[in-house]
Amino acid sequence: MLDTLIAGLLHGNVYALVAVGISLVFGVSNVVNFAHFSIFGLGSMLAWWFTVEFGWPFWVTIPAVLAITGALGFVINLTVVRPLARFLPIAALLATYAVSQILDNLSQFAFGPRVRPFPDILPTDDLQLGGLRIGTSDVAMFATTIVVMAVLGAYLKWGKSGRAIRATSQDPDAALQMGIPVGRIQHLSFIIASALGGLAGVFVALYTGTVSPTSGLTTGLTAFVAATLGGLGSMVGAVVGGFVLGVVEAFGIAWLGDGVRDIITFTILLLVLVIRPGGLFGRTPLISTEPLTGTFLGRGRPIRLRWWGIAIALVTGGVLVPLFADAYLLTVGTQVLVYAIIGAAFTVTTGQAGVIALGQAGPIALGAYASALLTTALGWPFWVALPAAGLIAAIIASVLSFPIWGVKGHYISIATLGIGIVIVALIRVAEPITRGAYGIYGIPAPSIGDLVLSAPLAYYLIDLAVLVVTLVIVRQLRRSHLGRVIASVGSDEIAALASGVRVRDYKALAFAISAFFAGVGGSLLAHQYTYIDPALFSIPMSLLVLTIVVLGGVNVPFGAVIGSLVLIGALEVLRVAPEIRVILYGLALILIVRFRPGGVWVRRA
Amino acid sequence: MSEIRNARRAPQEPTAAIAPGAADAAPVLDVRDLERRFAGLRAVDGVSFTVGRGEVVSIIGPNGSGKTTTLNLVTGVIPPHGGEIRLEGRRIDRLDPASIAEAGVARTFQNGRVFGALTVADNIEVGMHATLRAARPFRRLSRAFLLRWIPLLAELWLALVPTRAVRRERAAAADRVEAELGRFGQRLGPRRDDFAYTLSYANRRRTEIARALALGPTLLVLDEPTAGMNQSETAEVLEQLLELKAAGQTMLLVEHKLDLVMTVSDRVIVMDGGRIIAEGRPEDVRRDPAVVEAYLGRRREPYAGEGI
Amino acid sequence: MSRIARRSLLGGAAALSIAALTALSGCSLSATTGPSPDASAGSTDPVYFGVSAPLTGNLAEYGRLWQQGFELALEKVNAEGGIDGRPVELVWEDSQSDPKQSTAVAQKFVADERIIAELGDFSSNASIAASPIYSAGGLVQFGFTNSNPDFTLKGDEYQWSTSLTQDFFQDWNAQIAKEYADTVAVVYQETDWGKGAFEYFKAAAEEIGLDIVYSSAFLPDSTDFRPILIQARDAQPEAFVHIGYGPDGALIANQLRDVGYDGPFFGGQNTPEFTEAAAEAAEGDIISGAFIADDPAPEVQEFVAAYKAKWPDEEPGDFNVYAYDALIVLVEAARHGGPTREGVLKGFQEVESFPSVQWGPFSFDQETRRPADPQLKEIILRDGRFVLND
Repeated sequence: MLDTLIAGLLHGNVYALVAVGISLVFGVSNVVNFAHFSIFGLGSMLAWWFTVEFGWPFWVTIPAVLAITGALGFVINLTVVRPLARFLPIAALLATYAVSQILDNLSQFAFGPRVRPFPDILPTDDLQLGGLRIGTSDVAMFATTIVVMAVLGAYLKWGKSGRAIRATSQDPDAALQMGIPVGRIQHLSFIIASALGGLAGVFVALYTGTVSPTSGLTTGLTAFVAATLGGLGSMVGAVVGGFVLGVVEAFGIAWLGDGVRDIITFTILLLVLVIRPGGLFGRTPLISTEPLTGTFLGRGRPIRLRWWGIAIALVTGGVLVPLFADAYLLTVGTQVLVYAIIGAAFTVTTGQAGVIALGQAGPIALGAYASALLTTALGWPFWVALPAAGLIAAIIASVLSFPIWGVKGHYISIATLGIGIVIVALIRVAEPITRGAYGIYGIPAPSIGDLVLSAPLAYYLIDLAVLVVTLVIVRQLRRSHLGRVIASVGSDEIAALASGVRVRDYKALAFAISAFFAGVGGSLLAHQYTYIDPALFSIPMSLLVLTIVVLGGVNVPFGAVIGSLVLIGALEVLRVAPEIRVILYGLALILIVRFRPGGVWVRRA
Repeated sequence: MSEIRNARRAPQEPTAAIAPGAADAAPVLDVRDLERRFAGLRAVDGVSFTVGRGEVVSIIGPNGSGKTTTLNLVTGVIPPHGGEIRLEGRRIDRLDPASIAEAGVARTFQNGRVFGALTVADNIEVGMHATLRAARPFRRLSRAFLLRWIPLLAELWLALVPTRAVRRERAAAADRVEAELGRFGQRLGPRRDDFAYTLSYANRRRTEIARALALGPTLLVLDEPTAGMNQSETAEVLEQLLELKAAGQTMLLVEHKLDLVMTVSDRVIVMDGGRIIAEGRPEDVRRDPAVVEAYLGRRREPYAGEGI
Repeated sequence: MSRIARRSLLGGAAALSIAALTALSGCSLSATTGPSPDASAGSTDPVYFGVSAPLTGNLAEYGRLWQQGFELALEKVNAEGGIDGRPVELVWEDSQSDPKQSTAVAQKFVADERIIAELGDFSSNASIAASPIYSAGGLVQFGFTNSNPDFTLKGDEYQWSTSLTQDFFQDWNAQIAKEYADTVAVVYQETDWGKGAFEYFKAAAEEIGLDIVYSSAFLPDSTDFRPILIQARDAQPEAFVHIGYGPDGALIANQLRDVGYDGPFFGGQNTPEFTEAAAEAAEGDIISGAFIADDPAPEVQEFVAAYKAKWPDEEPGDFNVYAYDALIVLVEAARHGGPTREGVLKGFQEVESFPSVQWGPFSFDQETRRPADPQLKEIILRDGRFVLND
């Protein structure tokens, strides 16, 4: 028991260090910096590089790592976060995700993908605590955390720019009016936070004894939950949240095994967001006093597609491509279509209801599994399983997400991330029904009577038909009174409530509609791949869906088709340069989000 | 005069309606002993008043006196810590804003809140949400725990596959929207298909009022309807309010522009420090020394004819 | 034109085109065998094999190890004159070992007429997802690291593998553990192959009287295993078994010692990621090896010498050998049956004995399409290197 507690505190220390950086940045820019996870991983790699390849002593390595990661944080804020954060926080989040992909792949390209041992600069097992062997390194990490907290705390409380950071974090506009150079403060916070992230990376390297270029995301996400638990924006909260989460996680794993670690972590996230979104030490967000709030992204009139435009699109997609494309292009085209289906319906949640949902892979997984099980285990025909999958996805997703619709502001997005992860984790754990991590093989292709439609052309045409139906339904919805009501929710919740619109209910309805089509898309994917397992429905899939709609315009259903074409088509075209491919993809994403944040399918206002 | 002194001395008792014509009807809005604290500070401290049918009642007072908080309490945006609010006899103080809107209370906001992503016409249409019947069946289940999905799904179905009744209701709603647009003459009409975020400030506020009126509210609550407007715009708003008053609309407003208040109100309530310090006809309240003191500060010499 | 007329025209055109297309291509909606590319005899154009592998992503290290193995094999076969005088070349595609991408890669390969066979993908689920495409295209899919029996069981004549299946490995592992202990604690990856492997281990353990006193799955991306290792230690097993990859094996071995467990550790992989990081913690680790550098067998020494000549700072490991052997086998099959898609299949079906570094000469069991009667070697970790255990 004691050993488990100690183990939890040790690991919690890691979370605490990373969480402080996350909270610091979130406090002053209102942005969840996904790139922080990569900077922390980069800190590990740089420490290894300087110590092992260059042979530098530790007391030179650490300042070097701090300097580089701090500078990197500055660059990221300058080029990516600050231009977007004020107007489109969610675009800033996407951009930081792109940065994290770029950094991770640059790191892989430069260092190679191997997992390497990290030298025992400080001994890692020379001390005994309870039944555990811990090391001077762990003590050093703990001491560093305390010192950092003390210094940071004093600086924020009494230092001139420290107080400015606090003021900016509480109210950037007021701070601006008071003459506080908010821009510089945000840069400073980013530098400090990133340097802290780099430092955390060094300690994690010591702690685990290995380094690799892709180690940031898992620990980073858990640290993010810790920061939320403690209260996003609160330094003390981040540290306390880190330790608490480490201990709770350790005991949870000891009791239930490591196979459910992610369920434990993200259920805690959801509980925090629903019960007390401000976390332990943060402030519970009150009603917003600003008008025209809401996550109203696309500033710009959507380009109206004339009837002849629709005809051209139909002819190209429906006649030219099938006639002239080869099997490979048709397979890619089918992927494009499926994601367009998911994306077009997703605009109901993101653009209309204003909920930037980060976990759409969950409903997609539900649909895929429902369809796979209905056809393999129950022998249902594909044509019946397809809509049934949509229904099942909508129902289960709605049931699981029912408590989160009252959560305010951007916390609701974070809650959807948690829901998405939990859904997939539950599918994995529900092995008796879903075969869990074993996956489901031999998902049958659609068939009409004796004719088995398994050629790429068949899939393409089926998916095209479903896309057309989806676009028609979404369009019909948008033009109805209900569509306007949902759009009112996304524009201004307070005013919507005052008009008699039950905001929570309509958010839930919008999400259910998006989940239905996500389930349909999942079903189409399942029958195309013929094999699915839970690992398919990952965070990158959720972010791909979100990126597609941001690209096309969150409030423009047809834009999802464009977004899907660009992102999935580009992914295939850029296949030519394997290692650089992901980096180019990330760069492309940043450019589009930075210069055309309303999406490509809008006219600039 | 004596009524005003009475009001000052015993602020806990519900004030008798003194405006003409309202004495014989049950009040539309009946507020009793309303209380609300923010971190120890008493923002609203034992406020009681009524608004009769067809009456226009204004609340005035210096900044921080609790006027907007009172409005927020009445419209359900924040819950009270004490007291009762009744609308046509029915208690509404524990209801959420959407339910209060359904009960017939429409409001506008201090900075003019419109739905930026919708056109002007659509903004107004959303205001009618609580009045729809054909497109929104099973409304009574909307507050029930799980059953609320029945009206939601029914609404979804009818949105995609409208019945004839729904189509008729849509046409009627469209007519209603045109009527509300027409209320503002040529100002709003030409902009009916423009997105609300492109509107000028004045047009935003017009849109907001039109949206509120689309509900056909029993009580219209206006939070500083002329904030930020110039003289001619303010005069226009005043004209509209007078029109609405003539048509019998019951209204409760918070306003700073005393000229407008005096012209349109049947009764004026003065708040300071969370309490009502004066209440009565506009001309009476205007001369009340306590009111003057609250706004302007104390005179050095005693006011002629008054001993304090 | 009126709105209604416009709409009907649109709808009509769409419906008509789709209907016409469907009618015309009705037969081609069903997957049929692809055309067989014609290999003109006597030309000196290269012969191409496709490789579907993770070049980026968190399994990229395995792609790199494959590259090394293939390079050595290519040198050898091309020095011998290639296939009928034509040099052998590889076409690489990055799949990140992701079933979404491996299917697209499969389509590409099938459509590329030059490619006569495919090597890969690394993980079984990526391969299985792509199997229907390869089968439809008549392309042999040589998933030489796919230890999931379903790859060949649920596949058809086009799926081949030189990877032994988990039931075989775990049977062997349980026997080894039993030599050193009567009670064990086991941790295994929460993935399809990890869980499957554990099931086989459990069955084998039960048969031979090996008692599993604690077991837990772990997520492949976890980095802190202390909580489950403390539980494992407290169950007081006589030995500890790990079923997973190199990186998690190293972390687990090191942390196992940190929580104070001193008993024998069995697990990890013969890759640098494991041997470099866990040298001390896993000293004495015994696993099954298909290949060990000290093996005096001539084909092994030939391979080791070629490897050390190119990469003197690295140690050759299992995944280099898997790739090397796979390419040699594929070339052998093509030499026998002819450098065409059908020829490769014929080669697999007809050649009686293939050379290999792992087992010396071996043959395929035509039923399972995997090696028949393979022999596993016992290798033990000493001073950071796996050597033959004698």
